[in-house]
Amino acid sequence: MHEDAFDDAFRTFAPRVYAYARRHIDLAECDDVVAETFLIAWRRLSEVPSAPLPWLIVTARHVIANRVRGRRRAESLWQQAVSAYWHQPASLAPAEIVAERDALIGALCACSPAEREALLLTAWDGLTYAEAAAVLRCSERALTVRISRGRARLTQTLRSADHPDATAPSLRLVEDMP
Amino acid sequence: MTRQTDPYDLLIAARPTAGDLNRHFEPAGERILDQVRAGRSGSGARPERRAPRRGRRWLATGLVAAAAAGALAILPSIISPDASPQASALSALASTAATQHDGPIPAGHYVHLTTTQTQSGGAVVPPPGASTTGTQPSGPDEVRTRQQWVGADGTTYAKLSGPDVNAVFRFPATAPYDPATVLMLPTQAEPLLAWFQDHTNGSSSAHEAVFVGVGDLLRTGFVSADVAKAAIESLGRLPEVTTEPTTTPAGRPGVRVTFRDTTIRSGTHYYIFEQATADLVEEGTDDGEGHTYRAVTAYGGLVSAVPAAILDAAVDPAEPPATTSPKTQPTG
Repeated sequence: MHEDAFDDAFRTFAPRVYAYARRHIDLAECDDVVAETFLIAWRRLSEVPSAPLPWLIVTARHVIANRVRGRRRAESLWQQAVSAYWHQPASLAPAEIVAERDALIGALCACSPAEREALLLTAWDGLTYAEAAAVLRCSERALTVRISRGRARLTQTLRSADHPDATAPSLRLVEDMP
Repeated sequence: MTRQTDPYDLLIAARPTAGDLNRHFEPAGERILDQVRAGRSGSGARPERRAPRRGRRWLATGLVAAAAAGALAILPSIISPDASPQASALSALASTAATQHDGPIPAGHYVHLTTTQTQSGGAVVPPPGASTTGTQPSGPDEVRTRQQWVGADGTTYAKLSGPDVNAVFRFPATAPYDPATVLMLPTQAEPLLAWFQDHTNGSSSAHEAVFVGVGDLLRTGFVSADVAKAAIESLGRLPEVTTEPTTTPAGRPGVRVTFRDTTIRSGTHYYIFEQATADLVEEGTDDGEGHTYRAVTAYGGLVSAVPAAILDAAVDPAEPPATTSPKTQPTG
């Protein structure tokens, strides 16, 4: 019976873990990362907290780290994943959605990897500051600084890219991605 | 930027919903789950730590006895309606609600509630002939109090007091949040969510209507534990809902549950639940333009009678004109 319950938990949380994996490892390896993460969860059930998502993401992070060690991580992975998962409200025109999405991804490119990951874990994955700090193994204060700097960099980048004559959508692509 | 001024908020607004996540995950989901099942039903040996060869890894992993012993303890909390921290917080609240002892009102008893409502940021109406240009000043906070007694048949006595009202009313049971209807509500989140979708409207979105409906239901004070649990869980099905720790008006640990959908409005609607009881103790709205509404509810529990002064003063507003003017508020 508890195996069925674990299967239910898998169906609940695995899509988010999979989305995290998409940002950090090749698509072809995401299946294995998620499976390995949940097997570790199964083996260590007594360690899994009542709000398991941060724990699962930390575990996935370790699994990914083991796999990519010694390899150069493709910088474009997170861009592809964020682009693919970008929520598209029906109330917005597709062109506006694309413009906003690409402008934000461009601005995220201007952030340092640490700032970007802090922004994505909180704003994108929905973790609290405390949970994101636990995932990144930094203090909550350090995470707050990263987010603050990242937000400032996003604003600055978007503002510098904004064209005064632009009409809706006013977000514009950042031409020179670092 | 057209929709958001803060790119961080835009990033939050673009956060993939559960539907988005599932759409990407489903093609591989069952295949991965099969891998996990194969692994946990294996020999019990620990999995290799570093990229073992495909096909053997899952046979080399499995359940250890200690994990099995811990499974039953952890599973109720690991199962959550959504893959998000907010869903986990709501799951914990729902579990608490399931242990409470509210429910049908016994015959001859009444549920007693007191709600204090505060409206802030209302504009001052300028006197005739005054200039209406420039920023309009905000008026003072308006505070109204509603004491309410609800009987087993749904008859409700309400004593209202505030700057523009001072009266006592008697209402018959009003669907859909009357005791008879509440008693029959589904006790599982999914069917209850469907019920809300069929019985709520009037909001800018179906999800917002459900959010409001859940609050209306829980603030009746006579929801059974299993329905309250399902209602709180159903909030976790709404992708616009977030949670954060907070403090209740009484200074106790609480959970703030916020509905925010920037595609329909700039403001927010929130509930505060007391962590230890899962009682919905505060509701509020903020229209994003300086106008806020806050309602704090105190649950007085069951009482065996409505105060005589209330019974004597109460009028039914639907009665013929001769009696439609509410009587003066009783003293005491």
